[in-house]
Amino acid sequence: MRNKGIILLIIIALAFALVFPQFPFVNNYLLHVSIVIFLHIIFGLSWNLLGGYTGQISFGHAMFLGMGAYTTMILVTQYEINPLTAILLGAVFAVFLALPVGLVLFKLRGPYFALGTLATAEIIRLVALNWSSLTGGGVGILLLNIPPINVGFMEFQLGSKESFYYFTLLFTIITIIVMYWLLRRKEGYYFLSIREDEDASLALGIDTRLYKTYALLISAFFTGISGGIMALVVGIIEPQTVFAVHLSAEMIFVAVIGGIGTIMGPIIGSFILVILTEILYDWVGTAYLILYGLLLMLVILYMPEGVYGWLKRKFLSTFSRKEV
Amino acid sequence: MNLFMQSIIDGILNGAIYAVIALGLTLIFGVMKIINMAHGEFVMLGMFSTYFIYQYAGLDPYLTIPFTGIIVFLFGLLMYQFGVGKIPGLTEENSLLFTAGASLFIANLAQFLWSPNYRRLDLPYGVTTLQVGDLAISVTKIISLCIVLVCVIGLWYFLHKTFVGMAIRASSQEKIAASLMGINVKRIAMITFGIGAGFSAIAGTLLTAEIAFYPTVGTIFIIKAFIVVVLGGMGNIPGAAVGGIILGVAESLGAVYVSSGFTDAYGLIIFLLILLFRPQGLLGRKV
Amino acid sequence: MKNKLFILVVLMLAVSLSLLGCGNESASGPVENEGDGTATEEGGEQSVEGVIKIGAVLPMTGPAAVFGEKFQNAYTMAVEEINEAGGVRGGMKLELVIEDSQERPEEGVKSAERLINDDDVLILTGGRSSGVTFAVARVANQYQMPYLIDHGSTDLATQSGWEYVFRFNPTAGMYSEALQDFLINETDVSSVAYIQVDNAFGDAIYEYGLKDFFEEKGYDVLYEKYDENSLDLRPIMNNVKNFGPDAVIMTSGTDNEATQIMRAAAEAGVNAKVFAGTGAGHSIMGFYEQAGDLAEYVMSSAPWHGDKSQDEWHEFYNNYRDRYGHSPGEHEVEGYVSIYIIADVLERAESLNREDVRKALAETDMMTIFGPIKFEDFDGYTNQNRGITELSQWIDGELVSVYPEEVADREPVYPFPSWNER
Repeated sequence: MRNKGIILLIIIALAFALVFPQFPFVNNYLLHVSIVIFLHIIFGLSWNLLGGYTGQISFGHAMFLGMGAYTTMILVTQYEINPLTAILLGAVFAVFLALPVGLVLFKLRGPYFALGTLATAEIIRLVALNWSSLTGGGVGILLLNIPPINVGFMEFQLGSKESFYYFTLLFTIITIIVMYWLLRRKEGYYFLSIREDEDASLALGIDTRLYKTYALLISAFFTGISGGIMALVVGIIEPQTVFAVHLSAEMIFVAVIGGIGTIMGPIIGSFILVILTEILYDWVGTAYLILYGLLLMLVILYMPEGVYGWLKRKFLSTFSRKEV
Repeated sequence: MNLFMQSIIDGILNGAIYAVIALGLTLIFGVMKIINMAHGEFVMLGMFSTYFIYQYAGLDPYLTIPFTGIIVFLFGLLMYQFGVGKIPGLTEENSLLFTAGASLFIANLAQFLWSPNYRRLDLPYGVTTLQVGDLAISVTKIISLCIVLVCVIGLWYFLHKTFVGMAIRASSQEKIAASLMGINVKRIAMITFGIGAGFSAIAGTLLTAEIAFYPTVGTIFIIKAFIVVVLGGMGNIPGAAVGGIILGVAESLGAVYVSSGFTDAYGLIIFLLILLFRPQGLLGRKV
Repeated sequence: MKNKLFILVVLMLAVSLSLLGCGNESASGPVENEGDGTATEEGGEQSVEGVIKIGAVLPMTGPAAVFGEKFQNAYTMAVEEINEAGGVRGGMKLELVIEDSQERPEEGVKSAERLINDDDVLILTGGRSSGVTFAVARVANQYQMPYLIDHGSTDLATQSGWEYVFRFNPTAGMYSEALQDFLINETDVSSVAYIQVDNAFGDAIYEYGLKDFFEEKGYDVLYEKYDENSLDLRPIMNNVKNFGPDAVIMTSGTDNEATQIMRAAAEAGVNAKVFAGTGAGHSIMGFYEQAGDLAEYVMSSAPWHGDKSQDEWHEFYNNYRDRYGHSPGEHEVEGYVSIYIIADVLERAESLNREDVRKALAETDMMTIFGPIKFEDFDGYTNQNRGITELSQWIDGELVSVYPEEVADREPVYPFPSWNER
């Protein structure tokens, strides 16, 4: 019964997402905002796998996003590889980057790990900035034409907002499914136990470094995907854009505002933060970041378990009594 | 040889400023385990306090230090009382996010109130140099170095020789034991936060002689400050001075002898190495 | 239990998205197509309420907000002047819609989408930084929205063959032309220290302008980069002093950085025959306000600041100063002129839709306080105004044109007086 209900709802949500671009009031701007929300969901969930479930707060996740973005852009613009392959290869490169990063930085714990990732991301940004022959330096890489995607007999051209919408939606759904599936396997429980008590997990025979690295690699893979898509959507990347500290911070915001350590959390967080930014700008103009900061503070103070956790608590406490 | 000497001297002088920027952060970080992302905004508030006092009272910027220190100290107290201190659980990630929100809030509110314009103090001795042989040494930076030394020694003395200072150290080492000894841990945390903010403001004042400032200037200090804190060891006051000077010298020599494009990377690389091989910092023990 | 929660969440998400949709809809709703009703897909026919909107993407928050404000001021002043003088097309008023880019391309794209989505916006301007300008240009061209670039200097924005993208300011590659001629023709400089800010602007000036020049002329070059947030540039200047160049050429994005460089140069005691910036930081009034005497005799190779022989220029200068309390510079002139070009375009457009505005824009041929404006295709550029670059010099607190002779107001002070002789 319960499962049926949830499945039905997922189908409704999915159906809504699928027909959304066809609604009469939907325009390119709304589609763009939706794409931005999807990208936030992808990197929010990715960050959450490592930060929320495994308890390793990374403050430099933009390095994987940037890696995905640069790989995708270089492959698409210089080698005219189709964007789908390029994005996947970008994600693979992000994983290649994550391997040594994990090997080295997982020696660190807690805030030291956070600072270590922050520093690594900055170093990589500086490398991207100075390695002009590959990355175009500060000018960055500009995307003029997107080659079509050939999947067997089908051809798909990325270009219009609608095509990007469905493309990003597809990856968002894949990310959610993979996260859901992964967290219900034994690995998922290992992650949680590492978060709760790393030493105890080690004592119980969990190879904590192996599983932390495992979480990091998957996290890097999907962050890399979001980077690749973002690069194609924006059409220009430069080190300041895709390796920026504020991007790393945004991934954390999304997860924490929504509810850290849950699948719904980053999804809700993405909707709230992206839409809020847009509405606030309409409402108060350039003062919107003041309110944005204020809201962050209020959420931490009054909803430390995130909006989803808060809703769950409120909802359960008011309604469950009636039902019982 | 002259180039080398000059680079070392400039590195040390810049390092002194890095040190004072990190002083407040290391105190808050070391004692309270709070990663304070709003640290740069405290520095910015210090700069603006100095600016307004200089503008309206005509006081020499270096003489404004007591006032700016106290103003931002009070600001820190308030922020702790009504914000940081109320964070449920006060976990690392929650405090980090709260202060990140505070950073956005303060910087953008300041921009709203004071406009985004660059401001710079027009000091008569702004670019005066002391000539020692072929070496040219900036006068403002020598003054800064002296003030930094006073701050470091003063703060160290305060922490080790006064009752409040000892209470701060006690509660940083063992909260429960400290409260059993009759220390009001909550109040001590508030005072620590305030002092950390106050020292950041002093950094701001010293910086007004060197750079232009604007409401969102704070973001440029935060990474450097963390590097210094980790180099010296979290919560280690003399460590902050040593860490600052190492960072300054590394950047100065790196820019001259390796490549100026990577100036910011040298500190980060040292930072990573220290994190990995000597996480307690160069000088070891805390507070 | 859990699924009720799920319903609630999904509902909330759906409602919030549609709210955004409706909010946006209502913003442009009441002023839609009351005219002859021949709405086209992109940007329908407008004749409503007598208002034409001009969209601009600018950095209104973050460290670059100071430049966003300069443009906002200049646009606002021009728009009000035009409206007070009766508007365009016999009484239609101009209205400015500014969206924030935070100086980040991805935000710039979002803002551009937002502006393009508003059917009343017939033309875009602004952009400010190279990255944002390019991102906006790309979106604008895709949606067939005319975009008049007034400051962003990345060469590629008008090298990509985009029909809808126009630029009246010179490109980064052109910025240093006057300086190059000056160095070759008027000096005996043989070694150069080049210092650039480590971002898109710095790289563009070097890659598209100075790099080949240095190579061709066989200068002995010391190449240095700095981060825009550096607290101190002394280490770089120590290196420059050790190198002992004849000329120091500097590319800085803001007046703040330009000042940091000159302070470091003075402190380190770097003496060279020429200290020259390449626009931006070194040609802003703020540079002199911040650097004071250190700015004296520093040159800057940049877009022509405007024809000071015109009365209009002085009128603009004085009005701006009275209104905002500081003197206008490169940014303000560009912003002000941009609106006047747009007004002229709107006046000439056959009808008020984006396509006709583009056509009118392409046919622009007018004189402004920024010089003549005419969009041409040349040397791989499309719709690019042949902007004039000049070499100017800070003398007694004024940025005076000194080279080339056609536009010069006086002779350059050369060589640069050494630091202890002033």
